[in-house]
Amino acid sequence: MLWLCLHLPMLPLSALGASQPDAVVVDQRGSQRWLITPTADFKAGTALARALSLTPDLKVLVRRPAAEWTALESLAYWIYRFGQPVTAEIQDLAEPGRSPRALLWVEIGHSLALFGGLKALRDLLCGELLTLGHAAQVGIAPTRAGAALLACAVPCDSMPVREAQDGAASAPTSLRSDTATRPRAGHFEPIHDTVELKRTLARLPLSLLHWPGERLHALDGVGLRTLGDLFALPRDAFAKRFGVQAQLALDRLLGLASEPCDTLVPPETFRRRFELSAEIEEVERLQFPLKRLCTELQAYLRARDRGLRGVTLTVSHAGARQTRLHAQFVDPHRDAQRIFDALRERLERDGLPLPARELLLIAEDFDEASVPQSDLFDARAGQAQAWAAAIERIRGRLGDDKLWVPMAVADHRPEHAMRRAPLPEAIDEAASLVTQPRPSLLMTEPWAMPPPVLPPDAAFERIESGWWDGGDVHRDYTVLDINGGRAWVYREIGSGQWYLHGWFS
Amino acid sequence: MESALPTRLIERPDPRTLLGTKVWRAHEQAQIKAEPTGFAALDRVLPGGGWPLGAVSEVLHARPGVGELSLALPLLARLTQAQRPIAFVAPPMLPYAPRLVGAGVKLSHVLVVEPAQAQDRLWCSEQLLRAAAGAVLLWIDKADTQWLRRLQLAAEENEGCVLVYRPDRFAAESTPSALRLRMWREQGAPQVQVLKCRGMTPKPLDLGDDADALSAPQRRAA
Repeated sequence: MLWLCLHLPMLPLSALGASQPDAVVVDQRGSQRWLITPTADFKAGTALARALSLTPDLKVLVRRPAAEWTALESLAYWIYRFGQPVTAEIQDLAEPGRSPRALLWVEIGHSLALFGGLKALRDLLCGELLTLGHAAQVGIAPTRAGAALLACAVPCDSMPVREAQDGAASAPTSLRSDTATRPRAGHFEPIHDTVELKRTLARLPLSLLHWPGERLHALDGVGLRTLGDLFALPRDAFAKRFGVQAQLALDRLLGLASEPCDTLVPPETFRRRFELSAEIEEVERLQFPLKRLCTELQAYLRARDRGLRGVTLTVSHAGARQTRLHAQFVDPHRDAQRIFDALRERLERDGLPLPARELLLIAEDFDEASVPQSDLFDARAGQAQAWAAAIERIRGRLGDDKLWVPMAVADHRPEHAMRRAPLPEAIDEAASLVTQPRPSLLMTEPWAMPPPVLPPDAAFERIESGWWDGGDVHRDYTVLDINGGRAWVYREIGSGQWYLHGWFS
Repeated sequence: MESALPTRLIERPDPRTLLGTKVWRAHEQAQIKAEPTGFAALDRVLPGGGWPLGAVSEVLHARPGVGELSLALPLLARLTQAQRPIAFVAPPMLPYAPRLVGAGVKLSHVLVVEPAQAQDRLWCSEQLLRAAAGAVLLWIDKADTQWLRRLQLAAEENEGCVLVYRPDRFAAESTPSALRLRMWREQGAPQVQVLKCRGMTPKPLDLGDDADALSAPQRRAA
């Protein structure tokens, strides 16, 4: 087993859809409130009162665990394409000063050959993660717990952390205590075997363990500083003093005990709810969250190897009112940009009747994806995609009924001999019954006209049909020149009224 | 020093040796990519021998029923049979499916778009051309030069054909289109006049046998 673990320290913030650099998420326990996401000035765990006293214009958001889990779950569906099993966990101690740890694991041991090696896989994964709008630290190790610890130990180089001076933050030792011993890169070198894992872990500080503060304090008090100190202790004595659970956790870290976990598998349908941090009135400001949902949907489609036929976006407003938008695609695809364009065109056309509070993206209509395989000599596959995308853009702007394909129908009555086939529909080339000349432009409704002067050699084509479905016609058609244009006219048998029905354009 | 200037002028190399065939000289016919119209007499007078590819062509006619759509049908049939999509944008009436089938057009590659506003018609045409439409037939009254240029650029991208159908009262107006045809019917026979064609001086045209094909059907049924 080779586990790749992502640690997402900014997940509480990104799950709320906030993108401002000065926004922080706070957790609360009793009267204590503390930051759980780091900013440029403060590290996670700083008391909110202290942060506000130094930076009064900090944008404070309250943590929403449910949103965090949804965001983590959708990331799990994305990472599914890199290997399986996939599992995710948010480790939350609910202790003042401690941040929750959002962790996502994927077993990559079997996928290495497919992606062209560990480095290629990691680079691809990190690149895609950035486009999804998440920052993560990566750890790779033979055990889940080991990979998680390595991921958490990765230093955040880009974030200079102002040391918390007050004692309110009760993390026993500073996270930066031994920066010098860590590699400077954004990740540890991948670890392939347990011996090497033990050697690497032994150098890490105890404070990295996501254990209750009480236990860490006790260990710190005994004079244990690194994990190596823990590994050197006699097992029985350690278990007796700190509990069997602590010993079990250590064993799992080193691969001495099994690590049961619930695996995550993408569900049959995609439903993603996104609560907006504030009411939004302008369509433009919905673009950012919408784009993100579309990217997630694309990741889901890739993981399940499906193509999308139709997608529904429900925008919720105050007072349980909703606006529903539906986009149907010409061919099944999994292109986030196309999904986004189709939904945005519809949003811009209709506008928002009321400020939006929540977005819900549902995709249930799937098919085999017609993903263009790259072909050196044939550009047609790409052109078909471009054509379908253009049709969707036009349909989004004009409405569904303004686009159609003319289709011949085997019927003798002229107005029933064709129909407007809506897209997307499999068009079959029906045999036409017509043997006589037919006009190239047909009027939607025949125009009544005064009786024309007929040439002496006028020939008529009689059409009598349709008694079975109520559309009974009895007509004599002929071709006539009217004002220099060649027209198709008929006389209704019975009433004798003349009508203009089409032009030989 | 003074004698250096004329010498240099005389020794100036032939531009074609420097730039190859990219230089066009006014007395030569320009290289024009075109698709045959399917009417031999018309092809003979058009530069390149047909509808110019990647360019805007205008068909001016006073009223429907002069054979203006029949003029394009052989082109549409050829394009759709080669699996290229074509589009009718804002036709004044229904493009009649049985007639299209009769002319050999594959209906599965035909799209009809009905935008109400002139601006949307041009926008749709541009979108379709950029998505590699084989031909776009656009019905529009007023089209300003700027939009015709945009269509021209979109057509160049994928070598699409644009046929713009307009009333013939705009015949005197000058436009950037590569080809301008005027159509009418005289004593039952269709007439085509080339008003402008990029690449050569318009020549008078006698449709001859093609007139029968264009004026189908004969009034006297066989």
